[in-house]
Formats: sequence, C-alpha cells, structure tokens
Amino acid sequence: MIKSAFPIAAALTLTLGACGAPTSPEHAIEIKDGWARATAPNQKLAAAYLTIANRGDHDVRLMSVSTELAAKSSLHRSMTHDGIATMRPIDDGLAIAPGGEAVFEPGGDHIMLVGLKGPLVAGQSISLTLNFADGHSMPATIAIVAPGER
Amino acid sequence: MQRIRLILWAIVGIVAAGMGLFLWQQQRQASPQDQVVDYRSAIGGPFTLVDGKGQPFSSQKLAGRPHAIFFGFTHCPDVCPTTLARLANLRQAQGGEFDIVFITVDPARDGPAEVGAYGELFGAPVIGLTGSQAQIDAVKKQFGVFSEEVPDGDGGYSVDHTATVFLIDRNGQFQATLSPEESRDASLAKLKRLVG
Repeated sequence: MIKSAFPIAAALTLTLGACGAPTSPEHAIEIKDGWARATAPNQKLAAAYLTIANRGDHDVRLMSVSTELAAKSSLHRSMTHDGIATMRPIDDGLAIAPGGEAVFEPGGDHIMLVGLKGPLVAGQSISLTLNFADGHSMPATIAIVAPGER
Repeated sequence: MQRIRLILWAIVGIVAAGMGLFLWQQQRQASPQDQVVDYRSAIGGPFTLVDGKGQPFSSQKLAGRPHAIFFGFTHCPDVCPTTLARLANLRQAQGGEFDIVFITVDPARDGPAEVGAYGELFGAPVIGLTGSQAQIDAVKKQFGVFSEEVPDGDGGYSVDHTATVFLIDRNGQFQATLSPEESRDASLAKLKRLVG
C-alpha cells in the first residue's frame, strides 16, 4: 500500500500542478463568442469573428489561424474611411496586452477563410486553431448563424 | 422753350422705356448659372444590367417601389455581408416596404450565378445584379462609385470600393445615402422617410 502510494501521489501532484499552473499559456488566454455567418452553397469564402482575452501577465501575439475546413485562413483588417471600404492582411500578427482583449468583429478585424471545402450551415459549429507567437495553439469554436441574424 | 422741354422729356421717356425693355429681356433669359440645380438628378438614373438568372435587367423594373442600392463583390468576406445583413435587418424593422439591390463591382468573378446566390442569403429579398464591364462601369459612374482591385499576394485580389448605400425613391429619384459609419437609428429614420 505504502509502496504504491508514492507513485500515485506523485502522479496526482504532477497532474494537478499542470492543470492549476497560473502562468500556463493555455489558461491565460480565453476565447469567446466565436461566430460566422452561414454561406451560400457555391460561396468559397467567409469571415469568422471571436474575442480573445489575455488573462495572463505578459503579451501574447496571435500569428495565424489554421483549419482543415478551408484551403487557407488568414487574419484581415477591414476599414471604412470616407465611405470607402478596404481590406488588408494583418501581416505580422496581433499583439494582446495582459488584461486586454482582441475583438474580431464585422467591419474590423476578422479571420478570412478562403477555399471553403463545404458550406457553413446555420446551427452548426466549426473549429479553428489559433496559433500564437510563443508556439502555443488553441482551438476556437465558431458557431454558424443565419446571415441576417448578426 | 416749352417745345424743347417737351422734346427732352420725350427723349427721357423713350430712353426709360428702352431700358425697361432691355432689363425685362435680361430677366427672361436667365443664364444657366442662375438656375437652381437639383443635385439629386446628378446621382442615379436609368441603367441596364444582368440579373441572377442571366437576363437583362432594366432599372425600369424598380419603378414604383423605393429601393436601397449597395455596391460590393461576393469575394468580400466581411464588409459586404455585414452591410447586406444590416440592410436586411433594417428592412424588417421598417416594415419591408423597400427593395434591396446589390450591384457587383467585380463582374470578372461575379456572374449571374454568383450574384443570384448571394441575393438569396440574407433572409430578405435582395436583387443581385451583374453585367458586362462596360455596363458596370456605366452604373458606377452614375452613382459616383469608386472601386479598385488590390492584389492579395496569393494570385487573387480584393476590391476597395465605395460602401455607401444609395436610397432611391419610388419615382426613381435619388433621395439620400446610408453611411456604413452611422447609427442604426439614423439609418432607420432615413428609410422611414424614403418609404413615406
């Protein structure tokens, strides 16, 4: 009994330690309100939106997004100035300060999915992977809504 | 002396009458700059494009109903769907008494099938229109719409474009615009006024 207690205790401690570590990157970043509009059957691209909150104590930098559902996904920034709408890629990532949030929303920053392998259907969810500068990646759940809804 | 005075007064009278006639003529032939210009007729006007079924579409078909015209392109992931979703939402709030028209600024990629399918997406009837490059250039010019292709470094391109929505009344006259930056309340007030 006592002989096996130590390995079990050690295993438990390591497991609990890993889960509870306050500075682990996965726990410092919160991803919420991921959503995208449904697409027309032959529509090959779409925008996804979400909010990334940095609950940690140092900067994080979102570098890219990946998914199996589209040939290519990238970060873009829309702007409207003097009535003219433009869109440009965000080339060197997006920094989020400790305690700050990056909000991806219509008319602003968004994730562009190009070469969709199938339509996005209202009521379903898809998953994207967010890749950060420090090498960590996190999944983001994107809820698909009907186009008139948001 | 009496006679000379009479003659002089007659000359004065004739000159006065002559001047009066001259001034009256001037007033009648007002020069173009003096006329009041109705700026509303400088924007819009009749056009012919192609609809989502590949059929010629004359702006005559829109007569009798107020409509909101938006220029965009279907390879636009964010601004265009956002604007159309906003218009669909406003249309519902207003009571559905105006049409929404989407005209592509990217006829090279947006044919009838593309604009037709796009029109179906937004939970409100949207008339999607395309055309030849010449037809699109003409209608852009009528509305003072700017567009420019911007290569995306992957062989594709996005299109910078005027994102203003043009409100046309039931008589086919341009009435007002909706700006992408204005509040929902401001847009709704303009649409209510458009519908009357």
